[in-house]
Amino acid sequence: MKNPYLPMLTKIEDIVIENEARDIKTFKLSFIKKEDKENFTFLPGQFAELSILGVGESPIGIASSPTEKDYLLFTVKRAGVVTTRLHRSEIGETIGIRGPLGNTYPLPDMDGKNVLIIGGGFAFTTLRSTVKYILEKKNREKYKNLTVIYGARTPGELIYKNELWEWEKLKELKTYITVDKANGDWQRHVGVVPAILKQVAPTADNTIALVCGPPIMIKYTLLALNELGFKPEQFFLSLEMRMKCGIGKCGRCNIGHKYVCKDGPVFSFAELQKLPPEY
Amino acid sequence: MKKELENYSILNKEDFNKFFNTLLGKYNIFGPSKSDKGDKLNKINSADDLMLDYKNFKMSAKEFFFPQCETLLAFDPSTGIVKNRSEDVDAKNDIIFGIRPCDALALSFFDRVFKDGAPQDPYYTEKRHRSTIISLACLEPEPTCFCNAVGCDVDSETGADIILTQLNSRYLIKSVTEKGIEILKHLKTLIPATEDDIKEKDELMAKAKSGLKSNVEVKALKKKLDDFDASFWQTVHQKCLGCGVCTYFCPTCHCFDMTDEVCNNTGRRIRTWDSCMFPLFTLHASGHNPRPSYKERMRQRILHKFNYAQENYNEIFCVGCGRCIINCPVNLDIRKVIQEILEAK
Amino acid sequence: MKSIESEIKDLIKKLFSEKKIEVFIGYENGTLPLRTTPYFVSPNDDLDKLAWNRFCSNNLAVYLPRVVAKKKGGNSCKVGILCKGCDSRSVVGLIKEKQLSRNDVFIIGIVCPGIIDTKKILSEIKSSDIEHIDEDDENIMVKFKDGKKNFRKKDHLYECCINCEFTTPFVYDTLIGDGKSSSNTITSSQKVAEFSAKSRQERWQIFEQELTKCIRCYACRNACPNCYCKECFAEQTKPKWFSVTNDLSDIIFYHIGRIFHQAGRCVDCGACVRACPMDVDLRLFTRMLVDEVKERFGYDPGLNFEEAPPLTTFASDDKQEFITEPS
Repeated sequence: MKNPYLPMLTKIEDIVIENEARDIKTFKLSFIKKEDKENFTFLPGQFAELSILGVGESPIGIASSPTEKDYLLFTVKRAGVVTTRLHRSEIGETIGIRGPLGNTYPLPDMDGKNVLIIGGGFAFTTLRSTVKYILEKKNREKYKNLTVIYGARTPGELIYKNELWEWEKLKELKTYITVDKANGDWQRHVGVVPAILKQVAPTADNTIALVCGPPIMIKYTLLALNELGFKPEQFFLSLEMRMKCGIGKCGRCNIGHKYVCKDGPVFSFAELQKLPPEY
Repeated sequence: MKKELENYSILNKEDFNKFFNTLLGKYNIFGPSKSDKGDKLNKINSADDLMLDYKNFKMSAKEFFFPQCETLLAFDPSTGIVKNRSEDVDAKNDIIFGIRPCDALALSFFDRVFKDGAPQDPYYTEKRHRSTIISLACLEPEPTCFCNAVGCDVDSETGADIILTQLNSRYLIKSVTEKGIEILKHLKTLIPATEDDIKEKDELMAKAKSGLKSNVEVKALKKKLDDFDASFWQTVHQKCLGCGVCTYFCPTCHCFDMTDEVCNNTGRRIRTWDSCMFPLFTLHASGHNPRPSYKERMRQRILHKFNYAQENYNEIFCVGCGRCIINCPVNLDIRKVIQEILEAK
Repeated sequence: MKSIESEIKDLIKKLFSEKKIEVFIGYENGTLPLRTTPYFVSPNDDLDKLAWNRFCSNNLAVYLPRVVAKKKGGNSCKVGILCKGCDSRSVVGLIKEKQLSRNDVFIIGIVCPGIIDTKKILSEIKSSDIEHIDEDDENIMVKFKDGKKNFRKKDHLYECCINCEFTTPFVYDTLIGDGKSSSNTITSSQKVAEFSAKSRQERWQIFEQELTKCIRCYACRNACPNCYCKECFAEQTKPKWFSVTNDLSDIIFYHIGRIFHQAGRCVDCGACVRACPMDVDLRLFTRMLVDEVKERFGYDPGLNFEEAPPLTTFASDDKQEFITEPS
């Protein structure tokens, strides 16, 4: 019997500090065992339980794309016990990983559609995975327009900056990067994500929107999407909850009768409307 | 033999010890006996240790399959080498003897979560596979019992492999599953049951059922509970102290925590009982808590049992054993909560 | 008792009609024999259910911080509460520790005749099927399935009630009852005296034995009005003080931490003992602490607002023989 509680071991290959506040880091992990690497197949939107033996586990979205074959990326904000300890880790250390867990963004159902990616702050991780995945040549042709709207409070809080600037140059997608408050020589958009969304006004026609961000951004983004004519079935949110097992047993991450770890973390807004607003 | 008598047999009381000791030769048996922690499931080494005149266990039978603290894996914190927990595999399988039908039914709910729902929980499933459940029908329910109100009964068979009924000077034994039939095969102490035996059992059961005094009616409850923001939630939680008594004693509550332990350079990842009644249960690392007060936590407990379990498993995750009623420090009675919810406009 | 009950009801009605309180916390009869349960009375409830009897065991002060906190932000509002001697001491403690202010609460003090230990009575009845309960001044008469039995009230009090020196509340807005009580013969608790007379090893052994029963449900903590910490050290993760297992060492750590946190604060109301579903006799240890504080500092918590809790102050004549020079 396969033991879903048993972590696979990985090694930290690289660590990137993502923001000015230095509380968000991206960890590049590679599997120690070859079979673990081969068995770990996932799609954007899924997460994994990262663990430091002796400290504990923490559920983190997978930031790399399945098309990035040799490693996994996890972008972690320092918050609790495990993430704080993770932030003190160094290259070469061993990290346990259980996964992939949860469902995915509905990429297989999005063939032939426009894709609108809306992210805020540090919650851009699995969306980065999605963009990266779609930009892969063989995937790109399946989808129509790809639009990315991403914002943070200040330029210093944007994550994956180098990549964002690369994306801006590509013709395969349209990228709108914004900050709530500009500083220095900021040349791009200024304004909260929902406001920029309204300015950009992407068509709701034949479009699926994937949204991830802080609660306040979500709240106004939903209103904006609604104004733009998006139906609840057309946009998907990735949720966060306190989790332990990640496999629908330990009973704490439920919203109504759905478990975020197992039935989510990705829910369409239509699904969420049927669930109690307890998240 | 008549078809309906096929799965029944009779064990005379004077043969009980012989019957039991034969089983003891082949199985590890866990049954009711007295301990510091009240009547509970303990390893039984001889038929004399058994105590069969109990009403119900203080703690439910869940702790056998889902202990309060269980090692999931061991590791060496310095090298990071992970070992599946070392398990002394006993050649003998287990018999869980004499649990009440409510506890057996509750195990079938555990099965739904831990055994039947993918992915399987290997720790629970393994113990479940190696054990046979022999339950004991209730002749005298407690005043706090309300099993009949939630789809359980004094002689419910679900979850059990064999069910015993104490008749006058003998036991009526019914095999419910293949596992049960297998165990009883070739036992010389058993004799065929007659229609009179069944009749006696039916009479005893009818009498036992009449002792169930609760009149809560849960059929209409699910619908009432679909209204997440109903006003009754403002009041039903008021006297709750937020301790873990109701959930720890509940035979169906299965929420757990996972933590790491390091001691003398050996590490283990453990799971321990947790409770939705505790404020830290859902507290995010960011400080946000989706269930910040007693109200939301009480609502979660009630909804999980009486609403979400129906959505997910078409079951009510309550077997009416009454342990939460007996042990609640403020006599917050779930029957009354149900009643108040049903009566709320 | 009936007349006291109606006296309380009349008073509550008056308090509501004069808008002096918005909610009242009292008792109603419970769903189990010989039990009452806390009752949150709102202005329009008819008070038929309200009960005052010898089974009103819960210390209702435990609810005050959260009920008062909920009302904050709005206009000043009062919570009415029924308090026996010990409960009123808990309220005083909460006020002294700034968990609420005196203005938040209207205390109906009640002279306590001693509360009857339900478990003591039930342990003497084999059947749990109780059909009828009656009482006179001296006795509780219980009729159960296979017979009936009389229980002398005096002999079936909670351990903490047997030795209670403070049956009359010291702090209240209205006092009900005549200030005398039936159980007020002050003797030192026999159980505790026996325990403290034992050797250190024997005491530790008993301590361990009692705590072996603990299942860490935290009912003792949550029933205690003094245990209002937003995050208990037992569950803290930053830092993590000890583990969440049910190993005896972790259980002991929890109880030592909790009990010692009660020094100079415990009013010996017995809420923790009654709440324990596993019958751990926590009072053996908490009462030792109460006696110790009394002996060392001459302090009884919860009697007034002026006297500072002994562990927050220093007096030149404090006993300090426990301070030893490092050798």
